[in-house]
Amino acid sequence: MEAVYLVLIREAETHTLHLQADISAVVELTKLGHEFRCSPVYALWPQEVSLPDAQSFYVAFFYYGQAFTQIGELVTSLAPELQPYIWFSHGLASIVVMCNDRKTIEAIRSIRSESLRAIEIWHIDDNIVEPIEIWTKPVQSSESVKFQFTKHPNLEFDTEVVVDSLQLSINRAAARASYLAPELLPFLYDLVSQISEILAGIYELSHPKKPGLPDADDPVARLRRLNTLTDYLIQLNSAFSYVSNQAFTGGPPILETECSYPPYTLLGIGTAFLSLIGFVGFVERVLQDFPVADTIRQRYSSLPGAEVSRGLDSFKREIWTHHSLDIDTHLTGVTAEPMLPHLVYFSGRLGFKETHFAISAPVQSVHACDGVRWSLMTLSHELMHAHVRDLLSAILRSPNPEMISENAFEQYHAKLCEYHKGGGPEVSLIDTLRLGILNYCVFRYGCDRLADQLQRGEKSTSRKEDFKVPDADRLLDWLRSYYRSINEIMAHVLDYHYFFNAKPSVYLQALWLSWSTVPAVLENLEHYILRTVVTVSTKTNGTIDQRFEAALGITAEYIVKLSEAHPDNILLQCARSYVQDGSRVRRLRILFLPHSYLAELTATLLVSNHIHTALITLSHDAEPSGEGYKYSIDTAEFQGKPVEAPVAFVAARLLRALQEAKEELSLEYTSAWLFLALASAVREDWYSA
Amino acid sequence: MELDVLLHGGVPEAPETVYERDINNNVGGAACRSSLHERFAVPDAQHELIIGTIEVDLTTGDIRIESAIPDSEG
Repeated sequence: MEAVYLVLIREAETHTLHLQADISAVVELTKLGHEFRCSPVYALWPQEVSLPDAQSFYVAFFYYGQAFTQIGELVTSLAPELQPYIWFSHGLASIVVMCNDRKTIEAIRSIRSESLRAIEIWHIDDNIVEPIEIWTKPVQSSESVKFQFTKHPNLEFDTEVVVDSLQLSINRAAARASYLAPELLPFLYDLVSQISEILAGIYELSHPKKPGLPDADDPVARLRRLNTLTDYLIQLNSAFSYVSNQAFTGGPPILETECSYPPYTLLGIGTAFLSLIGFVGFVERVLQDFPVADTIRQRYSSLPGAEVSRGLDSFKREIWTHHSLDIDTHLTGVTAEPMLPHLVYFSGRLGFKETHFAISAPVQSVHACDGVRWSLMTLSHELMHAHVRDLLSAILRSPNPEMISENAFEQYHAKLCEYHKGGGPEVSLIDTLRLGILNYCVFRYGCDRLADQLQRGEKSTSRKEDFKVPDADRLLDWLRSYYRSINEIMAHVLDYHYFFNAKPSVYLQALWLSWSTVPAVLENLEHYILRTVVTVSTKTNGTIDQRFEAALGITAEYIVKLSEAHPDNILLQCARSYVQDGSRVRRLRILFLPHSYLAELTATLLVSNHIHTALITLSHDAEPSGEGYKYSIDTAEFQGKPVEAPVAFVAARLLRALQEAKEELSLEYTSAWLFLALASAVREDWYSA
Repeated sequence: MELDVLLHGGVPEAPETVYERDINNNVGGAACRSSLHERFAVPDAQHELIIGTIEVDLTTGDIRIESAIPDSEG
């Protein structure tokens, strides 16, 4: 037996506990008028489970720091006959012990008791729950003042409402984190300091008479900035309500804190939440250590740049491969600006998604993150979206395309025109990036129009389009309308190079199997195939045409393989038909051209080897294996040490899932184990506080 | 209505393509589709800087790209 559901039912003033085998059995227990909550727990030794005599037994919920290493300690220190009583969960009460003898609980409690943060013990008599002990480790000092936003008088009433809500949510989270997950306190400090900065910005923009404000005389620009900052607050408040519910419910007293995510309503998903922090926080730390966007902001205006190519016919990636243009050449010594850490949470609606302040993972991952389709490796792509937004904001000097100053853009446009009229190549490195992106817009517009012409049945034997730089207003419109595509292509390229070693096997299989669950892919298949081919092409050689052929060949090879392995997968069958259809490939070849140009710009000028190395090979526990990684911790193994290289760990799990390694345990079981392991990666020093 | 189409089939209106949306937003929509020339007319053409052309041969699929001012070698 791998798992059992703990079902708590409230009948009048009494709570009863029931052990059920599966969700169907849980549903059978529910009755109108009776509140119920449940959570699955997983046996440490599924082959040797020892369920207690149901008439009278104890349940102990252990809240440990580093539960993953704690279990490793228990495995080596505890008498073998006691181990079958141990279970683990998705909640902050990550270790659960069910036994008939309280001595067993005390024996477990005595091992590394210093890392115990809280414990709750129930006696169950004829199903009736009697809490007999709740203990929490005393919090040494009260630092709650550190979680208060800097106050500003006279904010708009509706802004105040959001601020108050957010303040109370963060205070409540900090209060719980202080004894249940103190490693999250620095994360919350950073959050509070960033929110204080947003509030300061709102205050300044609300009081335009204050001297020194750059756009005090431009009420529209000021309102736009004010709206953006207010929107940031609203987004943060909304995302934090998810975080608060997922991170801190299920703490003692369990009867009083309910998680809102079935079937985890009893113990919550605090450990699963911590595992998201383990992955996302690690990547954000590395990106902070090698601040590419800040390097562009601080240095690229004064560094000599390079040509950006006047036409696609003569474009060669070698124009950007000189050492002096390499981002790694300029990273050293740059001071990183403090970065707001992303809030992370599971979402039933959003799936894997990145917004300005939050990254969500699908709730399906809670059941199946150790498989291919719901692997947490997809978080890497979402993280790259945030990274690209930062890069684009540094390159274009604007946090979003709507806020690009028209005056500044006229200068960018003038420089592009000058360049295309044959003006000298005396451009700075930031100009190279900027003009490259504008060039993409020009090439993209022409190629889109030509590709569209292919679909019209005319008698001529050829189709022709001009590449033209329009006036500044129109070019800005193009940039705004292509902005999402630009972000998408750049995110793909960075994801491929940083997290998949720029090797296609794992990347393509993971990508297309995960896309099988996304309805939008089928509706816009061409675009998804294009993204894939363009990304893979950044590691192929030759002319732009040769790179297209090579990348299409690689993509088609894996799509065909996958479609054969998954004959019922309609999306893969459609993708296969697409890449084997000559007329569609002809259109794809045209669309490829501008996107390849942008992808090469990204791969040559914006990929840092320092970041790649830090992300993947930070630990001697990970070693290359084929096109992926192998990690020294095996499935469902508890070695008594934490995961130190979370990206390599998740990559190794993904490779294992792709190889369809025969697991004796269910996907749900190994996914719960993966969360425990990944949660052990969280470090307080990732954050600045 | 949407649910009915989803449950029982039917052909929903084709979504606007990116290109059509661009045309509709920028040069006046359906009125510009009366001929190929009009469809690609750009109102402020005098401000455009032509930097090259791209041409595809429909028989062979070959693509030819030319730049108004070629890049210098090396």
